[in-house]
Amino acid sequence: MSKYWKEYQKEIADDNYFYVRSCIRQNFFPGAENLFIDILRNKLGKTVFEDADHTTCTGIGYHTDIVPLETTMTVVSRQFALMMEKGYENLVVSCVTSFGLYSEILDMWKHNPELKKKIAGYLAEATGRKFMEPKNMVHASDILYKYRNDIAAIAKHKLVNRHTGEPLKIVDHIGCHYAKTFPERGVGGAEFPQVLTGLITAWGGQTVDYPERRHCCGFGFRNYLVQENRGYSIAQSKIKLESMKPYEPDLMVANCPGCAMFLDRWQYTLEETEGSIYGARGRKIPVVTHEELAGMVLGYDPWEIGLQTHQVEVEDLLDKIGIDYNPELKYADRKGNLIGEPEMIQHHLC
Amino acid sequence: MSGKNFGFVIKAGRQIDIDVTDSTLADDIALEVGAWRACISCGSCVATCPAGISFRSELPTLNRAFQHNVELPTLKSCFLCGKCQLVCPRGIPTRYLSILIMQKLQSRKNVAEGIPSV
Amino acid sequence: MLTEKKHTEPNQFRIAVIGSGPAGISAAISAAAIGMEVDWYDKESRPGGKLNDYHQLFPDREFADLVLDDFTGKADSIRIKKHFGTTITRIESANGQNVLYSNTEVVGRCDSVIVATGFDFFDARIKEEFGYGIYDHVITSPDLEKILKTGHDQLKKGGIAPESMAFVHCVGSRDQQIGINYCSRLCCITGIKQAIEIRELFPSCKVYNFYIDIRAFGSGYEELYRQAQEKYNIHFIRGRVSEASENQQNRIVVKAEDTLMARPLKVTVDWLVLLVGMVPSCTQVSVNQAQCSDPETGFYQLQNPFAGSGLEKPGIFSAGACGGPMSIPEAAASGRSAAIEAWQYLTSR
Repeated sequence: MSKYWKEYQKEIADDNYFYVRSCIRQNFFPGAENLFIDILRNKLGKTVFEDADHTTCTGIGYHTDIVPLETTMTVVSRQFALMMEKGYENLVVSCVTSFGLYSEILDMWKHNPELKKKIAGYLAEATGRKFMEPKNMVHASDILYKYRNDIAAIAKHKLVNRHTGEPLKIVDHIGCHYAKTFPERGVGGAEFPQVLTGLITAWGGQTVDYPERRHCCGFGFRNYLVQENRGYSIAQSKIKLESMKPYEPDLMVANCPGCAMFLDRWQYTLEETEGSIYGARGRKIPVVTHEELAGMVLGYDPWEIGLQTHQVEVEDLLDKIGIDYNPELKYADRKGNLIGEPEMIQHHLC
Repeated sequence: MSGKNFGFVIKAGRQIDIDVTDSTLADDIALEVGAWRACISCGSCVATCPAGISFRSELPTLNRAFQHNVELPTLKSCFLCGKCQLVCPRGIPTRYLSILIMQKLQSRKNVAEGIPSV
Repeated sequence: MLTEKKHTEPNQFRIAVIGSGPAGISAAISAAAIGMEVDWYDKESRPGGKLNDYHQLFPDREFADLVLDDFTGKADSIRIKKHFGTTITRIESANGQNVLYSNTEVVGRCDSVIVATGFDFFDARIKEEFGYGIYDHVITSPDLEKILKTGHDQLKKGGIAPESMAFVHCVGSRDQQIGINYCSRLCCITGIKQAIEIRELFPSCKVYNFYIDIRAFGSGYEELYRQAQEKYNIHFIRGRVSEASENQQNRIVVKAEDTLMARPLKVTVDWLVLLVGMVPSCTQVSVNQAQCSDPETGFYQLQNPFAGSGLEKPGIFSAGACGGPMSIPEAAASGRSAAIEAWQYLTSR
């Protein structure tokens, strides 16, 4: 594709990361964040620090007008203070909305030093901590992007259909808050993002550039949180799914909590309400996160990294790539005891 | 299709898909009154219409968003006073156009329903 | 006490004309006609500037080659010395004498200078959402002009005529996102003209022009706009394209709003043509190290636009689109005007 992407590259620190988790990702894909830390520490040999004291960024509350901006800023300044206290200056953010919110706040502080001073005052007053700003701040998918070739070098699998030898056709989906507000903070900018296609191509797959590639998944906190409004949300996912359908993608990868969640769950809902299925041969399209994609090529056990928690079954995909798994243990806990199967599972297994 | 209810309705899009627009009626009309395509949506016709018709928005509907099942119901209330034609800066014969569009729509409907034309 | 007015012969003055587009050609011809000695520079090896790449000119569809031949024929004068293939980068002006530099090298000296360095087309890649440089079937208006000139078969795919094409107005004009707030004036009529050419070449091809406002200001422009609507059935849709992407058939899917119907809209086309605006030329010449440009637009700033085309430094004049977006007849008139102003300046100083 075009060389033009190269104009949107950003500085990504190479080691010593302070990792902040997402509120919702731990529920949506419970294995993903631990997997990320494991890959960094044990596969790439990096230092990652997690602080038990770090909290929500208030993103959801902020986007739904429940938490005032100044409160959000104070909470965020506390995260930054925690990092500096522990001796780190490179922030790695798990959640795309947190990343967008941090970027926005840093930008507001840059343009409004008075506001920054005020927040530093609030922080000192509320917590007694010292105000600081991160030296480098990136999203977790940026780190995987930076080390994509190192991961490829130690990968056990390629994103290739072993039955046909063809690269897997993969839809990338970037959370809006990753680069649409600040294109210069995203690898590849907002219009032709490179961060996930970089992973896909480095690991042997092929990106699907379909017409609605840049369209929002529709999650939108306001849309989702009020039940009656969810129709707006699902309508946007539907636009994307309809647009990608003719390409018969093998999977989708998303770097945002909401996108990965809803592109996955709404496929089930659309089948239940309208009878529509968007994958090839009457099957739905599996959705994974960037960490899970890395985990798959690195040869992690699919059930260890939580792939069974996705609504759309991933077994087909695992077979295509050639990843071994034990069907018996899909719904087993760490000790091997079965914890029960999800209720709806029979219906949406096509 | 089970049509399970999750407590919300999936919103149908409002997007005009020009790729599936039926332009045969527009072309038909243009054969008789080519000038109608010169409309610049100034709105003079709407501002003076005593029947409350938005002629200027019916024209792009006809041109870009027309499908065989689209009706242009507001035109039915036209009583052919001709004021719109008087004020049109592009000299479009709107009064005649109003009759023509309704005639064409009706004859299409007749054909669809198997009613012989008069 | 009365001083005797010096008797001046035109040929005692040397004047430099930088640029050989319509403005530069007209300036050179007029200066020579007055009788001044002209040193004529252009960075290219042949005269004509962008006119060389145009097919037909709006609104009357003259062939650009004929117009150019007509211009250059008149520029064959013993008073005009051509120095083509020379890029003038700066002028040092002191005590009524001007020294022309190409980087560090002195290439000429003269009494007065007319800069007619023209404009550049806006780099459409900057408006990333249109995918210029990413998708093969997204092109600019000058690209299309070259295609029309060198063979419109290039627009066919596998020998088949395009089914539909769309033009996007105001790409790189009236856009605060990219810091270009001005209107480039000529893109509307270019889009209208090119749309008509497409409809003539491929009668079954549907053509959509997405505009913010149609600004058909020049003589004959509005008439051409009406013809485009009525005779050529070109669809003018009021709404700016927000996104272009490619589908499986490598056709371009265009998203916009039809603002007159207040509904979003989608159309699939074989070619998307971006009507790119005019931006200051990257070879704009500096005068005594100053850029002499308008801080808002970057084009040359005239000292007093009501009085003439002089820049702030006396004896240096701007002609044509280096002073702001201009049509070919306007640029030619501006070149003639600059020559007369230079003569007036030299004889009255």
